[in-house]
Amino acid sequence: MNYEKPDPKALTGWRIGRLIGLCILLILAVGASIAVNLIDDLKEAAIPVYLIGGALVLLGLLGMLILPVIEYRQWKYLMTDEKVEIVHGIFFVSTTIVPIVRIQHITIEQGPIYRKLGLFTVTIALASGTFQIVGLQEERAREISETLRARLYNRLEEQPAAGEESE
Amino acid sequence: MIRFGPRRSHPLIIFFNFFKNFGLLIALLAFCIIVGSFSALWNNVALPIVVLMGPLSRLYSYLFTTYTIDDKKLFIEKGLLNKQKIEIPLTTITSVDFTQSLIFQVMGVYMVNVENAASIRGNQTKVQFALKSETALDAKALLMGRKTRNAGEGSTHSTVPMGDDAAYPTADVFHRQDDDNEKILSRRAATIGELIMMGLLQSKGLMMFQVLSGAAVVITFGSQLFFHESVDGQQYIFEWFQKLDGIRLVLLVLAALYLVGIVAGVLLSTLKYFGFVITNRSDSIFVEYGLLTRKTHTIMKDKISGISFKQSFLMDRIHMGMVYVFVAGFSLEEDNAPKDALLFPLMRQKELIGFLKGHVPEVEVPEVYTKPETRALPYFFLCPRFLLAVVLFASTLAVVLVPAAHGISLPFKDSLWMLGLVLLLFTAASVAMEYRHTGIHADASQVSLVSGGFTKNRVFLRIGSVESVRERATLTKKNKNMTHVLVSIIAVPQYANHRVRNVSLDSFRHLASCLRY
Repeated sequence: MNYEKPDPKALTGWRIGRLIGLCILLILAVGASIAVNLIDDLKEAAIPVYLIGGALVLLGLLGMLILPVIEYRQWKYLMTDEKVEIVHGIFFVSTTIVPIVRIQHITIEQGPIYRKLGLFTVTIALASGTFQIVGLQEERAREISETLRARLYNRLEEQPAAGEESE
Repeated sequence: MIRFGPRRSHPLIIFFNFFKNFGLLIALLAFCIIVGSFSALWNNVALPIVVLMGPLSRLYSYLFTTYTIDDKKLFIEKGLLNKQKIEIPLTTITSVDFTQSLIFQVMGVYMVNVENAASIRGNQTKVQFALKSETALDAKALLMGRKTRNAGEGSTHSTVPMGDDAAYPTADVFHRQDDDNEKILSRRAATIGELIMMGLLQSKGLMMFQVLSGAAVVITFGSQLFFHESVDGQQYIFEWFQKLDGIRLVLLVLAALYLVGIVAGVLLSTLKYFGFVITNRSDSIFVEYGLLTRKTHTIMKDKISGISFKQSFLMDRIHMGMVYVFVAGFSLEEDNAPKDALLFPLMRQKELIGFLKGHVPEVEVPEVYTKPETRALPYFFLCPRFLLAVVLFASTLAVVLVPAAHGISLPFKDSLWMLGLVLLLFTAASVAMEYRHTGIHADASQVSLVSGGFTKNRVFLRIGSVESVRERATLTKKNKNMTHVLVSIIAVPQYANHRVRNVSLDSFRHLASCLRY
């Protein structure tokens, strides 16, 4: 089976997302360090605060550099006439199979980071939840959306015929 | 052509959920009368204001909302300043059910709940209004499209009998609701014995927690009444509690909670499901129950996504269980809590095979399940509840063994580790039972999953209702041919996802090959 992968620029997008998280963490860590230095009652807690803050920032930094690579390596999707299969995850890898006839609607969306990179996300909505195919070029996102829509209509048109046959 | 309305709801809707809304206020008033001081009421003056908000908003809604039914749609017009018009095509309506609280029963009024497929994910299109019983039956027939259909066939008013006994509706009025064109295949009523048994055998964990939270309120108020009572300066009750040692006190509290849980469970289930009758019709299942609040549900068979057979530890021992149903459009109560989708209170395991065959097409009890491999057992212990129990046990042990912790002051410090150990063993037993219960089966017509520790849950899902399947595990685990499987079906979010842990990857592949594409 020919699985497809997101655009390599998605890797940059994930890194920017994690970098924003890391900046927030850094601000909090610096704020906490200043607070323990300025407030006399908190001075005893200075070493644990430095250690925990430092460890979290280090983990965030490693996460920003390494995790997107693993995530990208494991991200793949497959579309056939009958189903959409999405494989993704970092430590826990999940495989999701969605029969096309169950799709309720399809949305193409773009957040601020993806807008900068020219990437899109296709969201497949079912009654019980939503699934996403991320990091797609506009052309590919529209192609997926159109293909899914066409296949969905084809399948739905085929269904009554199948029902008649069974009767 | 307009067949009903435009008309307002019955004014009794203002007092819907009377005890729920006014219960706290009544309790506070009772407390003030017992204590002989109204200072508590004046100190909590915000409470009556908050309590009155609900009925006031319903009064506004009653005054400025009208309902109309024509041949094609239910039309609701609401609001004074911000006007809103809602149109619900009759073809999209999935169920029309009635609820009758005690006050509604006395006044001969039904609360009519209309749901459509869109109410799967929220309450936006859920419609609720109150009507006199005979008008409600008439409206139900129109909403379900029966009167229109019959009128077209030249037989008007033949499907819903209109009687003169609506002034004081009894169970007969409810029974008449299933007197429509559908053929009745079977009817079964739950006996009082079965309801009492259900209350006795139900899992007591949640009930004990509810009793505990209720007891906390009672103790807060009660302590002011009893613990401060003294004879010659002696506070007898309080001192008696203080004299008990740690373990004995904990055991006493647990035993008391368990006993109260049993009594409350029996009483509540008997009251809630009193007069439970299930009628199997050719296209639908009709369920009615309740003593104080009488409820009816009409479940269309083709909308059923699956069935669940739930067994508490004790029920499993005597091969009995409770039957629940998952239905598209069978959605949420007014407060967004999931509707209780009980299909039968207590049923023998042997009966389940015949019950499923008769009531739910395409679903049956499978003969064989694929069980997890023996090497999967350690992975079952890698779950949050067992890890939490280990951490708690280690902490209680550390309090006793680590010299640095000797300075920490805790009640019953020396016996805490025993409680930690009991909790750990209890959790380990629950995980081992989960390993024993777990199983998966898939064929061309259904998926069946068995999961749960002390409470065993067997679900039977129609393959046509499965929306997606997912497996999730680490790569190491996948290399050992093990994974968690999640099956999502068309149902309210609370009942939409069903999971089994640590089954083989092959069983997932087989499940995926069985899906209806």
